[in-house]
Amino acid sequence: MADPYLPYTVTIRKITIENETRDIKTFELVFPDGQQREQFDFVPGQFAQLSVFGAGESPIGIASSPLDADCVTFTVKKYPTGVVTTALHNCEPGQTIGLRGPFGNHYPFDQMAGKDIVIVGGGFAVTTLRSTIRYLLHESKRSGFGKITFFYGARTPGELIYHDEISSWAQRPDIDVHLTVDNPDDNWTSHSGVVPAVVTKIAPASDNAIALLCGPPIMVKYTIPALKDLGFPAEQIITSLEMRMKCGIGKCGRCNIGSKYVCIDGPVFSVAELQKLPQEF
Amino acid sequence: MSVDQLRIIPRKDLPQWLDQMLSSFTVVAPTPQADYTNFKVITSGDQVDLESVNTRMSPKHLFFPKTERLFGFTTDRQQVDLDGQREDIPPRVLFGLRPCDARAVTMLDQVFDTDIFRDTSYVVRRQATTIVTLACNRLAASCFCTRLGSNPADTVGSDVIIVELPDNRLAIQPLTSKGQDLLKTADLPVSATAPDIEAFAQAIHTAQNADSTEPIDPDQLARKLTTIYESDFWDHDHQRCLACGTCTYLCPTCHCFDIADEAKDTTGQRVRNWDSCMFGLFTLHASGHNPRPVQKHRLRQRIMHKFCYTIDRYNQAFCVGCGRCVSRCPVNIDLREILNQLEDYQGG
Repeated sequence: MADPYLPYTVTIRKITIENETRDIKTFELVFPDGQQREQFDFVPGQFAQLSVFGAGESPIGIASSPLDADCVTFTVKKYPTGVVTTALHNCEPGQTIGLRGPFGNHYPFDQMAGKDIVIVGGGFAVTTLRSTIRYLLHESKRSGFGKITFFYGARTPGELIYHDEISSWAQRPDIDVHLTVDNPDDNWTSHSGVVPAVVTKIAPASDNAIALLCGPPIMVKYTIPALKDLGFPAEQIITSLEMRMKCGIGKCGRCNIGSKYVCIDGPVFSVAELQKLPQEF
Repeated sequence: MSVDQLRIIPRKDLPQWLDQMLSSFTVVAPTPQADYTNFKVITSGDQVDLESVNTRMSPKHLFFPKTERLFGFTTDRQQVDLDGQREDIPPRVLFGLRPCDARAVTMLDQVFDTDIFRDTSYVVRRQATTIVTLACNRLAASCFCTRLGSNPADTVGSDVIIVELPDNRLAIQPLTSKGQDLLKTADLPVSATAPDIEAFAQAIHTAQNADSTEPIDPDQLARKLTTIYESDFWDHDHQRCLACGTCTYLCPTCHCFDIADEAKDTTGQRVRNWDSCMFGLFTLHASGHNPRPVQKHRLRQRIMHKFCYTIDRYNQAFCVGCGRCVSRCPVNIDLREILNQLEDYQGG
């Protein structure tokens, strides 16, 4: 009987500071055993439990693509009260940490096949969307999907994460990238203003299209009506939730919204599904 | 129920039978504490106290301990060694449960003994345990198992059921292969006569009909709870709730837990501990956001979880009517009254 609480031990290969505030870091993790990486078979949208032994575990979305064969990547924001996120930020390359997962459901790639895809991200919640975009842009996958439009916003230019990678996407012909910040600086040349306003201005077509949405609650709250105004039905707006979790496997009773557990029934839900649940998230 | 294996012993011979079990099993049974009983490992058959209807704590800790090591670790930053070796659980008999507590174990099974992500340590404990239940021939003031569609001689979850006959004899009936195995190991002569079998059936019938309260309709209650989630129904009881968590710790079906690391220098262990949805920290995110910021939301969560969410998820209410939360709540929040009020509530 496999023990669902026993983590893999993985090594931190590289740590990247992602923002000016220096409270968001990306961790590249490698398995000592290649077979374990194969066992860790995930789909974009899933999460895992990262642990620093002695500090504890935290659920974090997977930021790399399943097609990134050699490593698994997580981007973690440090909170002053976050014991595990703080311990992770104090880690150095070479250090060994725990990894349990993958857990949860994922973005609905079957449903997305052949459709135009509108991806809307905000702040550091863009992590599983980055996994999704890397996956969609892969040469073996790209032809299975229609036009990809990516909106991404943050408060300031220095708070946009994955900066170099997103800049490289902006050069590609097969994805439209729209960056926006609430507070532009003198060097900023892209959109300014909040994400929903930019979505409304660019107005991506909703015919045969699906929208993936992940960001801070306030952004999600105002982007849903913006997408609905563009003709996206609630069934075609997909979002991903966060919740305090411990087990990740539907037992510890902590992350429920109504009768759904975010850890096993989510974290990905359509807006239509969320409308049926108690508004307690 | 097939009664061809029914055993009958005089009540005074019970300690000897338990002693016989002790030669092959660890036996856990209600033992006297101060003015109450709790499940403890016994070393002699005469330590068992079957007089009180319910133990103070439910027996859930025998499958799902209050605190439990998940694994140990040794770390020097570069190198981490994990020790996932779990405690060995020898074959054991859980003796003298009441039918409500035995039924509750089948609810925990649905949470922990799942096809995917099977909870190893729960399942190991469960498999090692034979449950011998004692039907109730009297009810405590706080008992309400019949409201939950059960009764004082319910056999759900039991491997053996014992019924007290009026003439100070015990009728012992195996219900599962585990129960039959127990009766092979701790052998009793098959001695039931035709009048004994009749007396056994009569005692079961009497216990089953000891309380005539109308059972709740779980599906109807679940639907109603869904419609009154935002109503003023929830505006009252929470005002006196102290958020002490007693109800959840005593409840035989509450199973929420926390996972935490305990470490000193380079060694430590990851443990899981009982937790409670009554506590504000239970759902508090590191960001400071809390989906259930006030006690009203938490008390509502507990009622919704037991009488709506588990019906959606497991097709049954996660309450067996043991009455522990009723009798031990320090501010007298009475779940029976809440159920009555729910059935009567007309707002929405």
